[in-house]
Amino acid sequence: MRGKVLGIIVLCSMMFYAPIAFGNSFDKHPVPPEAIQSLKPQYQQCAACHKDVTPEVYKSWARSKHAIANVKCYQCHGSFENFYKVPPISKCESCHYQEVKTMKLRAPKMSCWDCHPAHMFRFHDLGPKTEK
Amino acid sequence: MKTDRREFLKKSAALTTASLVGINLNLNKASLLAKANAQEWDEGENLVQIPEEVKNSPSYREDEDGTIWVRGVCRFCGVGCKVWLGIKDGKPAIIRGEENSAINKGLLCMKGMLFYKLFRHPDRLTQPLYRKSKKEPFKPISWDQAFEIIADEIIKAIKKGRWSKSGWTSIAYYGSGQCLTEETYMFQKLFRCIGTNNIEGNPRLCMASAVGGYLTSFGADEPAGGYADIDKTETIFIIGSNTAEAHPIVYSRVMKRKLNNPNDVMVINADPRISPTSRIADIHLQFKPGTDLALLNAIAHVIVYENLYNKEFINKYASFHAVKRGKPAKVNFREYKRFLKKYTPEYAAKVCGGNITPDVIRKVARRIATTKTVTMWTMGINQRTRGVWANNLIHNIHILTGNLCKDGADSLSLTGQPNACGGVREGGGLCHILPGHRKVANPKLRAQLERIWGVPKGTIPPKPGYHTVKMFSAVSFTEEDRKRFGFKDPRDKIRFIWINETSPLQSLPNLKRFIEGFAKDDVFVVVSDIFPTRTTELANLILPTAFHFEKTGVYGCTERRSQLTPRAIKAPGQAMPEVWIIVKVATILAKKLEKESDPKLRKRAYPVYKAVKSFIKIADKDPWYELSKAIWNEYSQKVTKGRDCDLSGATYEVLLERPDGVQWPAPTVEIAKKGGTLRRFVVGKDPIATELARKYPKRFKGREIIVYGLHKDYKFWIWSRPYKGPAEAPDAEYPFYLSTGRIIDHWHTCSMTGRIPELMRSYPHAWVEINPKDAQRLGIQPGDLVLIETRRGKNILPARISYQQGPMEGVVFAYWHDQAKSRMINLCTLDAFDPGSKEPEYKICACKISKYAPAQPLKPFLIKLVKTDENKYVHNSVLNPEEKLS
Repeated sequence: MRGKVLGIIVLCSMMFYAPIAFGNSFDKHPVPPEAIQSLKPQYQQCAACHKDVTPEVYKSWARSKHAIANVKCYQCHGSFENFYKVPPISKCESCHYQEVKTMKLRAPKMSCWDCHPAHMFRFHDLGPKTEK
Repeated sequence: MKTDRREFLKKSAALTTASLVGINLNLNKASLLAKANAQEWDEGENLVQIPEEVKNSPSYREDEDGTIWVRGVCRFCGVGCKVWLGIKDGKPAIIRGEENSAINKGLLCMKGMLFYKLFRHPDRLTQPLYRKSKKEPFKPISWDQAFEIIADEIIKAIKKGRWSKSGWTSIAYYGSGQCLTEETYMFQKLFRCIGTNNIEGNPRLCMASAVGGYLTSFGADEPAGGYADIDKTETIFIIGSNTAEAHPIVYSRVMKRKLNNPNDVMVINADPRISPTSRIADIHLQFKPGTDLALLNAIAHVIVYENLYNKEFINKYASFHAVKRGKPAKVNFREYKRFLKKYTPEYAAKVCGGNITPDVIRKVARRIATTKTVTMWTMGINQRTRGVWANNLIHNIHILTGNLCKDGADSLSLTGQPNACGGVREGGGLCHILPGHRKVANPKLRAQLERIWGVPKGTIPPKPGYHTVKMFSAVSFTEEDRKRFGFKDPRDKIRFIWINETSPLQSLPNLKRFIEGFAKDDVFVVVSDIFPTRTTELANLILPTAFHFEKTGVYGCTERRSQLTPRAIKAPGQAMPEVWIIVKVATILAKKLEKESDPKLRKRAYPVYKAVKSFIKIADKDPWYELSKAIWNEYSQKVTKGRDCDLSGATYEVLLERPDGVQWPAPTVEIAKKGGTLRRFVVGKDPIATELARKYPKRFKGREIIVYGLHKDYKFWIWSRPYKGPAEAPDAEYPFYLSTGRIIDHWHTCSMTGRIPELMRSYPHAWVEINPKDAQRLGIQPGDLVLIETRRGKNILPARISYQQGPMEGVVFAYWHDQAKSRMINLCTLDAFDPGSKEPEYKICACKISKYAPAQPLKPFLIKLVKTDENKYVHNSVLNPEEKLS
C-alpha cells in the first residue's frame, strides 16, 4: 500500500511537475508546504520523506562529506519559496567561489556535478573511505 | 490535527494536484521574489552605501556582471568566518566565504550564507517605541525624545539608589558578545563614567569559566594557539562541545584533518550525548553529566603514574598549585601526585558511568601524552558550577604533556559568540574587568585607564558590580533574591537597565522569576535591537539599531583574531548604530547632570561629557563608518597599547587589507600586516615574549616560552582541583538529568534565524531528545509531546528518539532556540552558578518527564510587533494568553 502511494506521488511529480518556470527559474516543490506542516513533527524534515521517495539521492548525500559537515538539502535546493530542483551553480559559490570561477573560465558549459557526482560530490579520492 | 504518514502521502498527492489547477498557487513574480528573499523593498531602490575608504581597499570588489562585493565577518558563532557580501542591482543577494581566510578558507555554514535575507525583513525595528508603563501599548517617538527619556530615567534611578564601592547601585548595562568591540567599549565607558560597574553581558553565560580557567592556569586570558593547530595535530580531544553544530567551520577543519589522515589522526569526543560531532570520532566517551572533573583527573592520573608526562616542559615552564585552608598556595610535584592518587581510572569509571571503562581512560590518556593534541571545549565544560575547575583540569593535561606553544598542540576554548573575546573579554564588558584585560579591583590599572580617558581620578568605582545572575536578581529583588545575594539596603534594587543586542528574557536560566521582575513598573527597561524579542516584550523603550554590514566595527573571535565589517547597506527606517546612540545619550545626560543640585551627581557631568567629547562632531558627520573608526583608534591605539591584547598595529587600514584580520599581540603595523601573533608566549614568535627575553636575558636564560601575565613565575600553573558533582543531581522525584544545547540551523534565541525561511523550516520548533530505552520504558513514541518538569518550570516538547543521536540513558536534551512559551526550556533550567566565574549551570539540572499527548503538528512561534488602530504597537504574544510572558 505504502509503495503504491509513493508511486502515485512520484508519478504525479513526474507528470505534472516538470519545473514550472516563474521567470526567475524557481521550481515548485511537488509537495506544498501546507501539506508538510500538517504532518507529525518527525516527518517534516526533508530527509524524513526523501529517504523513501528519492532513496538514491538520500544515500549519496548521507555518504558525502557534505553530510558529515552538516550541509543540508535547503542550502543548495532552497526552501519552498525559492526551490530549485537543479540548483544554479551560484549556490555552489557560497563555499566554492574560486572553483566555480575557474570552471566558468575554463569549461563554461560544464556544471560542478559533471565531475563530482551530485549529492555525493566525491572529490578525487578524498573523503569518507567507507561507504556504509 | 493528527496526520499519520500514510494519510500524509495520500494527502500530499491530492494537494499536489490541487495546487496544479491553481489553488494556493501564487504566480505573481514580484511577490514570489520578495517572498523568496523574505524582504521588503521597492524594485528600483538602491540600498548600497559603501564608504570611500572601503571602496579603495582590498575589501571591495566589482565583478564583470556588476555584482559588488564587500568583505566582512560572519554575524553568528565564535568561529569568525570571513565573508563577502554580494550586492546585485542595489540589493543584498548572496554571501560567500573568503577563500584566502586562514579561518574558513572559503567555507560557510547555512547561517553565514543566508543572513543577507535579514537586511530588509518586514519585522525589522525601524522607529523608537516608548511606553511609560508595561501595561500600555508602545507609541512611536523621535530619537530626541528617546534620548531625553533615557537621560531622565537614569537620573531618576540613580536618585532612588545609593552610592556603593561598585558605584551607583540602581542602574545597569547588559550587553552581548554580538555587539561590535566599538559598541561594548563605548557602553562600558559611558556607564563607568556615569559611575557604576554594573556592566555585564551574555558572555557571562557562555565563557566566563573559560576566562577563569585561562587566568588561573596561564595567568592570561585567551588561548595560546589557534585553529591552525587543528591542521597539524594528531589527536583532537573534544569535550563538552557539539562542534559540528555550534562551530561548523571549525568542525569542517577537524573533519578534513581526520578524513585526509584516517590512520594517523584520532578524534575523541567526550559528551553524555551522541551528537553530530560524534560521527567522525574514533572514541566516544559517554559519561554521566557533571562527572567530567573525575574523568579529567583520571586522565592526568594515568599520565603522571605511568610517567608519561613531559619532564623537561614541566621543569622549565610549570609550577603546581592548590587551595589550602581557603587560599591558593604553591605545592610541589609530589603533592600533586598525591592529590591524583585517588583518581584512578577505576575510580573515575565508577563515578562517570556510561561507557567509561578504566581501559578507555588509559587509552585516551596514553594517546594524549604521546601525540600532539588539540583539546576543544565550550558550554559543556563552561556552564558548570565548577566550570573554572573543569577548565583548569583540561589545561593541566596540556601542561603535563607539553602540548602547548607548538604546532599542532593547544588547549583551545571555543567561544560561542562572534565578539565575546574581542568585544567583551578584551573590551571590558563585564562587571569585574576594564578594557585591555585590566581588572576593576586593580587601582593602578583603574588610574591608568582614567588617565587615558582624561577623566578625574576615582571616576571608575573601585569594586566590581553585580554579575549577571545577581544583576537580574537585583531587578526582581524578591525576598529570596535579597537573602541569596545579601541585598540589605532596599536601594540596592536595579531601577534602570539598558539591554543591547541580546534577549536575556529567553536566555537566562530559571527564567520565570526574572520575567516576573521585568514585568513590574519599578524598573525602566531600554532594549536596543534589530528585531522584537522576548525581552522587548517587557521593555519600556525599544531602540531600532543598525544590523551587521549596515554599520561598521570589529569582531574578535576565539583565536585572538580581530576582523572588521564595514558598512555596505543602508539601514531601514530610523535604525541607527549603537555608537551614535551612546554619543547622543551621553551628551544630553551630561547637560542634565550639570543642573543637578546633588554635588555627587553634578560631579558626574564632566566624565560623562568627556567620555564622548572627541566623538560628538564625528557622530553628526558620519555615524556609520568614521565614528566607529575614531572609537577603534582610541581603543586600539591608547587602551590596548602595552597590554597583552595589544592591537595598536591593527588599524582599520590594516584590517581592510587583511583577508583574515589580525591576531594580537600586534603592537606594530608591520606585525599586524603579517596577521599578528599565532604562537603566543613563544620567544621569537610572540613580540611581547621576545621583548622580555631581550630585556631580561639573565632572568629568562634558556627559556623558549615566557608565560607573561599575572603569574609572577612566568609559568603555566597546574592546579589540584577535586571532583565535584553538579548543583542539582537527579533524585526519586526528578529522576532525569536535563541538559540543553544549540542546533546548527538556529542561532541562540532565533530572533534572526527564525526569520530566514530555510532555517525556520528546518527547525520550526524545539525538540527534546530522549534515549530509546527511557522512551520505551515510559511509553513515549517518536514525535509524542513530552511534559518536562523541573522544580522551576515546565515545557512541552516533541520527542526525538534515536540511537544515532541523543543522550545516554537517564538524560534528556532540549534545544533552547524556540520562542514559544511552552517550549522555552530556560523556564526549567537552573541558575546555580560557579562561585569563581559566576557562570550558571545550564547544562545540568534534575527533571521528570512523561508523555503529554500523541505526536501532532506544532505551530512555530516568533515574537512580532502588531500595529493597532491608533498608531500604537503591541507584541503578538500579548494578544495570545498562551504566549504572554507575564
